[in-house]
Amino acid sequence: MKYTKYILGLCLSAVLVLASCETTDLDLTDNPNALSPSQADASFFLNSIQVDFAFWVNTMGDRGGELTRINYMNGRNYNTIYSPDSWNGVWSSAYRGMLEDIRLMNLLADEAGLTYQRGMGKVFQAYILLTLVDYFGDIPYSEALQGAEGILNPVADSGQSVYSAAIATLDSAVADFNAGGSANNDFFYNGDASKWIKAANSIKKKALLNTGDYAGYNAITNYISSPSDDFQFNWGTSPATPDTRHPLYRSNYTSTGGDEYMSNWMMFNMINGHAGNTDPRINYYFYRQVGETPGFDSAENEEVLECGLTGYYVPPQLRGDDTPFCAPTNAASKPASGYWGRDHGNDNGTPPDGFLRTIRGVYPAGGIYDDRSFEGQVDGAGLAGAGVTPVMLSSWMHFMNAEVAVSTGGDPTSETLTALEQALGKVDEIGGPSLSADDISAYVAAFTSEWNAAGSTADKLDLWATEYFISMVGNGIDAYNSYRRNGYPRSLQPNVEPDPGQFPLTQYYPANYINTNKNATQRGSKSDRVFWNSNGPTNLK
Amino acid sequence: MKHLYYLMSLMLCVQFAVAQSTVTGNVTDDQGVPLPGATILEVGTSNGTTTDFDGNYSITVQDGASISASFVGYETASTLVAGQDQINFSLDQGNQLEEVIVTSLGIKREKQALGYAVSEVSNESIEQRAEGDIGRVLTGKASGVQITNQSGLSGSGTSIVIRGFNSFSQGNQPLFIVDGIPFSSETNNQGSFVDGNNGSSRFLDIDPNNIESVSVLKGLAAATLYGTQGRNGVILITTKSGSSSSGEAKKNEITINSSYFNVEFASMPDYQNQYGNGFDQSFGWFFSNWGPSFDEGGPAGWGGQSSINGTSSGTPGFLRHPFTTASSATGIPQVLDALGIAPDALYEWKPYDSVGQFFRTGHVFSNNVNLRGASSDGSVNYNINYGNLEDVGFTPGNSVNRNTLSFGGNAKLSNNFNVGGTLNFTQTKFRTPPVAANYGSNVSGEGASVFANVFYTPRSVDLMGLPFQNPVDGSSIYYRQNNSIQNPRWTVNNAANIQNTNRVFGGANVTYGLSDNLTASYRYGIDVYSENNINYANKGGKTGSIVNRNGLYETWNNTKSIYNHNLTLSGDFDIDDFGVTFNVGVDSRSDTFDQNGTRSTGQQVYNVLRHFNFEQQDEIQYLEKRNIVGAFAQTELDYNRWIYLTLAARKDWVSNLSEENRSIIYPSASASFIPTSAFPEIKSDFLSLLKVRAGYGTSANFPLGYPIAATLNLDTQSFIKNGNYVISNTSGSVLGNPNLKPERIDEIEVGIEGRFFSNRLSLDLSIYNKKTNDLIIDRPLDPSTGYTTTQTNIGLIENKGVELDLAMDWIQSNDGINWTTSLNWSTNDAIVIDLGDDTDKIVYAGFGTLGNAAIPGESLGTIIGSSITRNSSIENFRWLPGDRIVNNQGSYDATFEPTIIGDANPDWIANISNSISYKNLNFSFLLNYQQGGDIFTYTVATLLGRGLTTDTLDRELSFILPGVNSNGQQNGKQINNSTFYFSNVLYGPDEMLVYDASHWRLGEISLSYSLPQSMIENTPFGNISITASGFNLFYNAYNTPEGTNFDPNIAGVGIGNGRGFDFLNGPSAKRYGASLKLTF
Repeated sequence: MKYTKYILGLCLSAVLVLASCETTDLDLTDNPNALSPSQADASFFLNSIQVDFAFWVNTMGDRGGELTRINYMNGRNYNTIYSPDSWNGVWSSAYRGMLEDIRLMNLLADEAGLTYQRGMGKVFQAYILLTLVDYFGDIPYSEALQGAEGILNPVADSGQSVYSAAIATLDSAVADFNAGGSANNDFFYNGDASKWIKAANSIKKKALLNTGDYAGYNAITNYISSPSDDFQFNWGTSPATPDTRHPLYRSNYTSTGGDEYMSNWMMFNMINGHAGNTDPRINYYFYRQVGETPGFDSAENEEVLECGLTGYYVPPQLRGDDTPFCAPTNAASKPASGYWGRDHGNDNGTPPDGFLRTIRGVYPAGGIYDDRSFEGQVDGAGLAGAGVTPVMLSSWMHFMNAEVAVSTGGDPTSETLTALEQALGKVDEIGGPSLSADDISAYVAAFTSEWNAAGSTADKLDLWATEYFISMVGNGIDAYNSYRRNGYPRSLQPNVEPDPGQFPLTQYYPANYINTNKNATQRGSKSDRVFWNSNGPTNLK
Repeated sequence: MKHLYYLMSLMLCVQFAVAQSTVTGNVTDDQGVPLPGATILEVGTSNGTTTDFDGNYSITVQDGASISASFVGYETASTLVAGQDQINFSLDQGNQLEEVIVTSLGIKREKQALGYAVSEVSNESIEQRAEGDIGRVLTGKASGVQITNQSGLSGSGTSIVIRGFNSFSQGNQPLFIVDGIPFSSETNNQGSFVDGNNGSSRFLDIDPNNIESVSVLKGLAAATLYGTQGRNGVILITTKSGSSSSGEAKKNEITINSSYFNVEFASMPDYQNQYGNGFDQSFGWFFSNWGPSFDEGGPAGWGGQSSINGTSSGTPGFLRHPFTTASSATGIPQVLDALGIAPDALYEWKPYDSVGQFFRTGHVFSNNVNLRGASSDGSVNYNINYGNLEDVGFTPGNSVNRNTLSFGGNAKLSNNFNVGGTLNFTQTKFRTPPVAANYGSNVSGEGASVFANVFYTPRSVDLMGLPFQNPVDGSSIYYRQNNSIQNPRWTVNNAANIQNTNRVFGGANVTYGLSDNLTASYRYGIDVYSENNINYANKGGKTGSIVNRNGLYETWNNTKSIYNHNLTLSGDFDIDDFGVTFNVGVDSRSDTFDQNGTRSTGQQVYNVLRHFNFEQQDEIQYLEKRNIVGAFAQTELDYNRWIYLTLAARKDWVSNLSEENRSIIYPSASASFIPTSAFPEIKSDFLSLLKVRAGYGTSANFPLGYPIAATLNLDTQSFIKNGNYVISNTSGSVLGNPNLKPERIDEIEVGIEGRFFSNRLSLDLSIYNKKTNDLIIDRPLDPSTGYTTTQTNIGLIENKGVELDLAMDWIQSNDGINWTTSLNWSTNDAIVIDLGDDTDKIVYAGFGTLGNAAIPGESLGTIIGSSITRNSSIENFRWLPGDRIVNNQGSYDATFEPTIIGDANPDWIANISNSISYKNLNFSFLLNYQQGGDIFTYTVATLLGRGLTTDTLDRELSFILPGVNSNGQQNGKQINNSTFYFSNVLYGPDEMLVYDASHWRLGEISLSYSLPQSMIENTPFGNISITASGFNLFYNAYNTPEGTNFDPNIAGVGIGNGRGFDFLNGPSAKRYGASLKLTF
C-alpha cells in the first residue's frame, strides 16, 4: 500500500514525540508520601509502641473499670453494650499497631544488639496478649503478623497457649534486660533495667494468679513491691499537635464542661469510707463543680437531675442501704454534698449539666484537686492533663498477694493493709496538697476496725475488693479479672435495668476480626468463659 | 514543542497538489425558511461547515467532490460539485438520525452509523440556567445518567454516574473531555464526610453558557478509544470557543446572556407551633422540643411549669433569660452588661421562626458575552467568550464567584494544514460555612457544621434574637446552660471552607491532509488548576475537638495537572458501495496531583487568620503522579450507508503497577443496520425510519495511588516527652500487592431507533449488560495479619439496564402552536455476583456497621446497618420472616451485627420535558421522577425525634410499637412520645431511619419570548429574547413524613461511591428568575 511508508513514518514520529516525555515514564510505583520499610529506625519504633501502649491500656482499662463500677457504664443491657464494632480500634492498635511494630523493631534490635529495647517490646507484647486473652479468650498468635507472607486468615490459638507464650516472653524479656544495654527513650523507667525486670515479673505474677498457679506466683520475689517501682505512663499538657493530655482529662475538662459521668457506686463507697471516716482520696479522685446536689441537699431540678425528683421511680434492686441511687447516697435525706454521677447502666439523655456534675480530679487524670471551691472547670484547669495511666502498681501487687494468701489458706490482713497504705500514698504523687501521714493512718485504722469486725472471710473479701477496686482508678483491667476470678465485692451496684442479662464473662470478638478473617467465628454470647475462669463464680451482677 | 518539529518536518516532505474550489449557497426547508446551523459536508471527508443565521454557507472543496447538506429532522441532500460556485439546498423533513454527532476523540460521525447509544444535549438546554454547575444543568437531560447533588449549597459537589457503578473501590465518575482535551472533574473534599467534606466538583470551572453542545457517551463501545479513562462513560463538551471550525459563518456575531435568579431554601420543614423546648412535657434547655405547650392550660400547658408560670421568673408566660441562668463557667453571666441583658431579664415562652429567619434569599447573577467571527473567506475564524457568575446561596456565608475567559480559533492554511486551538482561564471562588456529618446532636466529628444545630432549634428558642457572640472573647454563646451547642450564627461568622481556584485549560491541534483520503492530526492538551484551600475556625467554638475549639487554620494548595499528547492518522475511502474509514494513533496522559500546605492549631488572638498567630504548625503534603500511555485503532466499514460495522481496540500501559501487570488490551465492535434504507419499501406513514444496532465494548480500570508499594509511617510530632517532640515509626497499614492488575469491564448493548407517524414520534431504546471482572477491592484485613487493608482483584459485578428515549411532536405548525414532549426513562440493576472466597461482605462507604456494602447476590448500593431484633434468624444479612421484638421498656433493640436495611438504587428514573410554542412564545417544563431507592436520613429522624415538625403534633397520647414481647406475645407496652420518637425513631435501630426516596420534581420551568424580527429590524440587534424560569420549584418525596419536606437528592457521604445517606448535610435550593439574550 502506498501509504505504508507514511504510516510507518507517523509511528516513528509518534515514538519520538512520546518517548522522551515525562508523560510516558511508566515506573512510578514507589509511594512518595511515606518512607519505605528499609528506612525504619528501632528507636522510632519504640517511641510509637510506648505511646500506643499508654492509650491502649487506658482504653482497655476504662472498659474494665466500667464493668466493675469503678467507672460509670452507659447501657442497660449487658449483651448489647460493647458491640463487636466498638473493639475494632483496640484490636487494630494491638496487632497492626504495637505487635507488628514490636516485630519489626525486634528485627532491627536483633541486628544491632539492642537488648534493652527488645526487652521493653517483650513486656508490652506479653501484657497485650494477656489482656486480649482476658477479654476475648482464644486469639490469633502463632499465625499472626504474617500478612506479608500470605497468611491473611490467621487461625486463633487457645487462650491457654497464648498465656504460656506470653509468660515465656516475659522470661525472655528478663533475660534481655539482664544482658545490659539501655535506652534513652524509655518513657516508663528512664533506662533502669532492674525496674523493668520487676515489671516483667509482676505481670507474670498476675498471669499466674489468673491461672491459679499460686506456687509459681509465690516463687517470684523480685516484683513491684514498692511504689517507687510503679509501672505507669505519665501524660503531658499539650492540647494539640500532638494532644498529649490524659485521655480521661480530655473527656472531663472541656469548654462546655464534663463529658463523662462518675460512678455513683465508687463515690458512695469513698464518702462512706470506714467507720465514719470518708476516704481521704476522694478530693484527689473527684472534683465537685457545685456544693449541693439538686433533690438531695438543694431544691429539686428536673432540668439537670431528673432522678432527684420526689417520687421518682427507683428500681427495686436499687432500694436498699448498701447501694446508692441517683447520687452517691442511698436516701434523699442524706446529703450528697454536690457529688453526683450516674448509676450503673443508666442510659438517659444528657441534660445541660456539664458544669454541675462531678468530674475527675487530680488523680489519675491530671485535673484539679477538690478544694471546695465549687467552680465549673474548663480545659487547662488543674494539671492540664498531666496525669498517669497505671499499668501495674505496688499496691495492686499487695492486694493480689492478699488474695493468694486467702486462696492458699493464709491470712490476708497484713498484705491488705500494706496495699491500702500504698494506695492511699499514691494519690498525691502528681499534684494537689500532700496527703498527711495522719490522714492515711486514721483511714487505715478505720478500715482495720471494720476488717477486724468482719465476721467471715467473705465479709473481709468484700472490704478487700472494694479497696482494691478503688485503687484501680485509671485502669480497671485487673478489676475485671479479679471480679470474674472471685466475685468480690458483692456490694457492687446492680444495673438500673432489673434484667440486664448475663454479666459479660468475655467480650464479643471485634468486628474487624470476625468480618475479615474467614477462620474467625463470633461467639454466641458473652457467657463464654476465659480458659482460666472455667470454675469462676456464677452470681456476678 | 521540539517533538512537533519532527512530526511537521516529516509531513512537510510530502507534497500534494489538488485543485480546489469554493462553493457558497444557502440551505432552507421545503417552505423556503432558512435553516441556520445546517451542516455542509464534503462527502467522504471530515471537511465541513455549518450555515450561519441566515442559512448561508461557504465551503472550499476539491473539484469533483460531492457536498451534502443536513439538518436535524430533515433529509440530507447532496450534490456533485462540477464547477458551480453557488449551490442552494432545499431540505425535506425527514430522517433525524442523519445528524452528525461528535464521538470519541472528536470524530464526527453520522448518528445512523453508530452501533451504540449517545445522548446529545444542545446549548438551548444548557444556557441561561440558574445553576452554574454543568453537572446539575444536565440533570434529567440524558437517559441513563444519574445526577445527585451533595447538598443545596451553592458550589457543593455533584455526582454523575452513567449506567451504574462499575466498581465500588474505584471512581465511578465519568471522563470529561472539553474540546478534545481531558479535563479534570474530580471533587477535592476538604476532609472526610464525618469532619466536613465541602468541595466543589471541578467541572464547576466550566461556564454552561459557553457550551455549544454536550454528547454523553454511555457505553463502552462508544468510549473504547479513550481507554481506561472512558470506562465510566464520557461527557464530551464542545465549547463555543472550541466549536469554531474553518469555513464557517462569515457574519460576525455578538451574543449576550444575562440572568438574575433568586435562590431560596426549598426544603423548609413544616414546623409545629404548639410545643416548645423540653422533654416529657416538662421545660428544660434541652436540644429537644418535647416540652410544654404554648397554651397555658391543658395537661401539657405551661401553667404547670414553675419555670414559666411565674414562680421563678415573676411573670407568667415568661422564663428567666437563658443567659442570666447560664453556668458561670460559660463566662456568659459575667458579660451580661456588655450584652445589654439585665440580670432579671425575661424571655417570652412562645414559638420563634428561628429556622425561617436563619436562611436568607440568595441570588444568582450571571452574565456571558460571546463574540464570534471569521475572515471574509472563512478560512480563519475565532470565538471569544467571557462569563461571570455570582451565586450567593441561601445559607449565610455560602457563595460562588466565577470568571471564565475563553478563546478559540481555527485556521485553514493554504498548504493543507488546519490549525486550531482553545485557551480557557477560569477563576472560581467557593466559600461556605463548614458542613459535617451530624446525628441530630451537635456534630459527630472534630469540626463544626452550620446545619448541625439549625434544623432542630427548639421552637421556643429565639436563634435570631439572642446574641451569638461573647463580646469579650469572641466565643460562641447560646441558650443551653452549659453552652454546649455551638451557635449556628457564630459558625457562619467564625468558620469557613474556602476554595479559590485558578485554572487554565486548552490545547492546540494541527491537522495535515496527507491526501484526499488521509489526514494526520496531533493534539496537545493541558489542564492545570491551582486550588487554594482554606479551612478555618476561630477559637471559641463549642463543638468538635479541642483543636477546633481552640482555633484552627489550614491553608493548602492542590495543584492538579493533566498533560495529554494525541497523534492520530485517519483515512476515509469509498470503494464502490463500500466505505472504509479508520483511525490509528497513540495517546499519552500524565496526571499529577500535588498538595502542599500548613495546618496551624492554637489561635492566639481571636479572629486573626495568619499562621503566625497560631501556636503549633503541622505539614499538609501529598503527591500522586500517574502516567497512562495508550495505542488505539478503529475502523468503520459501511455498505451503501445502510449497514455499518465499527471495530476498535486500545492498549493501555499504566505507571503504578508492576511491569507484568501494567498493560491491558481491550477491543470493541459495534454494528448498525438501517432496514428503512436497505428496504425502502417498508417505509410508510407509520414507519419513517428504523435502525437496529448492537455493540460489544470493553475497558479497563487501573487503580489510583501506589497500591503495590510497601510503606512505613513517620510522625515527627507523635508525642512530647521532656519538652521534645517524640518521633515515631509505625508500620504501614496497607499491604502492598505486586500482583494487582487492572479491572476489566465488558459490555454488550443492543438498541433500536426509529421514527414513526411521519417523523412525529421518535424512539431510541438501549439494553445493556455490563460486567466488571477482577474487581479491584480494598479488601479489609484482620489486623492480626499486621495490616488492615490490601488491594486485590476478586469478584464480579454486573450492571443490567434499559434506557428509553421517546419524543413526540403532538402539534406541528409553521406559525401556530407547536408542542413537543420528550421522555427519557432508565433503569439500572447493579448486582454483586462474586466477592471471592475470603469475604462475604465488603463495606465500601460509610462506617463499618453503617454504610454501603457489597454482598454477593445483592444490589450494589445496598445499605447496611443495625436492624430491629426479630424472633427469627438472619441469613445472608437478611432476616427470615419474623416478628419484631419489643423489649421490656417498650422499645426496639438494635442488632449489632449489621443487616441489609435498604437499597439506594432507584428502581427507575424518568424525565419528561414539554415544550409548547406559539409564534414567539415558548413555554417548557421538565419533570423528574425517581421510583424507589432508599435513603437513610438523619434530617427526617432528627426533625421527628426532637419533636419539631407537624408530624409530631399528636403527642399527648401513648404509643405502642408493633411487634411481640420477649415471651412472643403481642406487644402491649405503652410508651410516651419521647420514648417513641427520640429513643426509637431517632436513636433506635438504624433500620428506623430508612425511608423510600421516591419523588417527583418540577426540575425546570420556563417561559420565553423572542421579540419579532419586525420590531428589531431597525436596531443593531439580531435577536432579543427574554425568559422567565424556575428550577426545583416543587418536589415531593411522598413516602417521607410530610412535615419534614425532605429532599432525597442529597449525597451525604460526599462525591464518592457511597449512596443513600444523609447526615443532616444540607437542604436543597430552589431558584427562579429571568434572563435576557441579545445577539447583534
